[in-house]
Amino acid sequence: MKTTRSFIALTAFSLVLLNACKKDDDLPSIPQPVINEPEEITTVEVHVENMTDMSHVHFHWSDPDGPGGNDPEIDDIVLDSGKVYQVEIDFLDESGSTPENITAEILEEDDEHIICFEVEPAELSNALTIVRTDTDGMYEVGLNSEWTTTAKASGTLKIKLKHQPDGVKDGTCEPGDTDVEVTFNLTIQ
Amino acid sequence: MKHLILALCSIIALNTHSIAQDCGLTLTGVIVDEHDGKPLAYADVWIDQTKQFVASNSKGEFALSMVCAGELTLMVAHLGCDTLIIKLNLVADSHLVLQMEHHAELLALVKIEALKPHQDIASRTELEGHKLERMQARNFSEALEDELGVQMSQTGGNIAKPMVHGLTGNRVAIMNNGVLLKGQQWGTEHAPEIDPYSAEEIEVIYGASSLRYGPEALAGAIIANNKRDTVKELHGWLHMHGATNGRGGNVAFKLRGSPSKKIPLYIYTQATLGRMGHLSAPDYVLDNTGSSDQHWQVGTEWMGKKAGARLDYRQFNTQLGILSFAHIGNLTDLREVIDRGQPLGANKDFSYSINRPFQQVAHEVGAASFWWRPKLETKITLDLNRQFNRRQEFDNSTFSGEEADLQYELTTHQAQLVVEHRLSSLFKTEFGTTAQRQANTYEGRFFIPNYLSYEGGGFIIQHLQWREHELEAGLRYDQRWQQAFMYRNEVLYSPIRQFQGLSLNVGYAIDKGKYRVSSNIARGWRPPAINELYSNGLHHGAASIEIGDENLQEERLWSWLSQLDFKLMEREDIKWVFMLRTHLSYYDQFIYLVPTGTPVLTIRGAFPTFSYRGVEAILGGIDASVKTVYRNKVEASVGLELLRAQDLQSNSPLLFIPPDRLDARLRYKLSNSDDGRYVQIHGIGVREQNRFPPGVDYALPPKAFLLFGGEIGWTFEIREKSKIITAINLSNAFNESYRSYTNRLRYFADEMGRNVSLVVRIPINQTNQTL
Repeated sequence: MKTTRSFIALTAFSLVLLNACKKDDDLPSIPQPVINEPEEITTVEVHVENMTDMSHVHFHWSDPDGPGGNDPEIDDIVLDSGKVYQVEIDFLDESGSTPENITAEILEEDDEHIICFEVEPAELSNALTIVRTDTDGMYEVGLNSEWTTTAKASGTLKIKLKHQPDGVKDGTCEPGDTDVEVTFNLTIQ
Repeated sequence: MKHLILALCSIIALNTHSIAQDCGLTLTGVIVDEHDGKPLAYADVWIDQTKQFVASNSKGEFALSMVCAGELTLMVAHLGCDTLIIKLNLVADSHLVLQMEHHAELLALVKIEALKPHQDIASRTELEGHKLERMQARNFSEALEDELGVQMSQTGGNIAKPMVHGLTGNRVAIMNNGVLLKGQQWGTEHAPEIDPYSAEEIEVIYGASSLRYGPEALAGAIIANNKRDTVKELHGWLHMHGATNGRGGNVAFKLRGSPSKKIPLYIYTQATLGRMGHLSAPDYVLDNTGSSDQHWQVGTEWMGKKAGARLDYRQFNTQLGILSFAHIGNLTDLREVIDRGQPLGANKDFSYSINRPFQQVAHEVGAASFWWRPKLETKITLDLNRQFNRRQEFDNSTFSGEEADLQYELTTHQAQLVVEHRLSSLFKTEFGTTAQRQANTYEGRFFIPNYLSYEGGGFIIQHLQWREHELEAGLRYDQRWQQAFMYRNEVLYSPIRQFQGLSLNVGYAIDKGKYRVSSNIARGWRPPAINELYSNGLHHGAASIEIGDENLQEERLWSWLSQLDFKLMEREDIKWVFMLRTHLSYYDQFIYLVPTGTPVLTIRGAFPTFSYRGVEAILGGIDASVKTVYRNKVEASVGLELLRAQDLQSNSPLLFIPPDRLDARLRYKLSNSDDGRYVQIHGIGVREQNRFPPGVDYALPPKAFLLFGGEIGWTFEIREKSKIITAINLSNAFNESYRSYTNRLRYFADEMGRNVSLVVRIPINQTNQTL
């Protein structure tokens, strides 16, 4: 009798245990909608303002569905020779239904970020000079820059956004890890 | 699991006095508990041939009269233990002392042969969970690392998965106290959710021969259990471990006892608290490799004569920092790190903090187990459990908020019904059925989708033991239904897949005393894992794009595993034992990441792309060891592990196969008895892996390395048969800078440098400590 009673008690206890405390509130059949994904950069916009006639063009590199899937769309950058351009770079998250501009977040943490420009080949890098014109108070940032073209040439421009947290920023592109690395075809005509 | 309990149940001694012949003999005896020498009351004792039956009295004594002389088989059943079989050649009235312990002694007049009835013919090693080496382990995988054929697949110094013959994850089943562990097994950086201190008994089964653990035990199974004794008094242990490297350690305890002397009810609890700071390589601190652990469990158990029940609840909580140097944004960053050799930021100071990136894992198990022995020969077991696994990964990127960047929540319900029936002392049949429901949801970054799966299966295993021969055959069928849910181009996509397969195993063993040979041929399979089907995206730590193939078929293999244990010499003063295990697996379809050759362009630059494919592959190798004991004073052993693996489709070696490894140890006992006082030196040599597919990995395999260590063990007797055990262990004695091929973060930093650790284990009201 006692055995039976203990057995019933144990069984009841087991049912309590099996419905233990930690639970998954989500249903597997309803995956998290895409808009709840953490922010990521999907698009780089290069705004180019010609200082001579104040004309404005922009070029973009965008991959709204993220790594894999559809191929990114990349504009070719075309500039005129013998000009000075004011350039502003914007980073966007276009993965959700409403595009978000992330540039302000980078600006807020400008002491942890730097934008780097790599121009190839030598013929093009001789014809194009890029100087960052903004600063975090100590080092340059690169969201704003001045581009000077001196001759006709063509090649590629690589734009990198480096994340350099915990005081590793030293004004160079070496430290930290790469948040963005995109390559444009660039022609100076 | 049962064979572990069974390990406790063996027989020790007997003495006799002779009078008569024929069928008028008396066989008397007493059954005692190995823990405290107390009698085990109400055990069932019977003679298999004549079915003469008696139960032991309250003093553990039994008497069988009118027993015939000659060969007979005595069967003893007690509590949750499996039936113990003792073969006797009775020539006179005899008295047996049956102690629940591991060795048998032979005395005059009666030829006695104690048979531990084998569970199966699988090639296995049983480890004493609380062997000192294991007591210093910082995680479960490290506790197994010393075993031949088992290595660690690491992610930095603090995250490790056990690898059996080079394979891990969904190819190694882990059973913890009767519960088939269901974490996020598919990830190489997902360590098994088992508290190393709770695993007092560990067993490794090699190869695909065991059909009890479902279809995902192709390379082997690891079984970890609590010790479950029948001591009524409150008893247990307190355990402390401190290490210089990481400047941290663990405190753990276990208590077990019975609230009443009258009923066979036991309760127990165990808990572990651990904290480690950043580990150190010889030349720098491995920034952000700290960890924090809180594990606990409670349980109660009814160990009746004919039926029993057990309820367990346990929680595993860990927070693991991920080496900060390993954070890279793209392939250029990775190449720079490899070219630089020394990580950038290698000047960081030691700290206990766990910063981003880190992972936080909680695993919860509620389990109920019921067994019923309607007849002495039959046992029915029902296991039910619920497991909940929450894995959160916190990245260190510009856009990480307060929340985890990635979270998986996996809920698993399992049920298993097994019937064991012993038709005679020689022939045993076992059959069972299993069912499982599993649901996974994710939040944050997409890597694997939500899914729901149902699994069902059944098996039957026949085991025949005849004189020195053992024969076994088993058959298992499983089926999995699985539906995944994900968005593709913002449209809900929910494909259904079904997988099924037949597993079978045939084994033979011969035990001649001087040597034992066993051999198993098995056919096994597993369903493709969820990541192999649907992952699509950037695998951050690996700097690669991994693409699943949703049309993958089941992975299937033929495996052949043999083991020879040979006592080369067995003299009073010197013993030599040789072990050789060979294994060969042929996969019709081996699922792994194959480079596609075309890089994928992302906003972070171009990444190499790998896709999951099923290829024809072959894996084989040997584990060998030689051990010697000289005058019970000096013990020496050498072990060797070799493994080869080839993708037969592209005819190139498989990637990330552990290199050849040799280990040796020499122990000198400081006293004549096995009292745990000794000095030991050991060394491990690992070759450079020169078999790898060219041009796939980012860096060449690391150089060969040689590590040395030592250990001093000492014990302090606090009262009779109760000792405090201590040991000081030194590893990587010469502070060697090296990298391990099986560590995924080897591109970024060296392995841990020198470490000195101290272990103290204090018995609480416990005697007969095993060392």
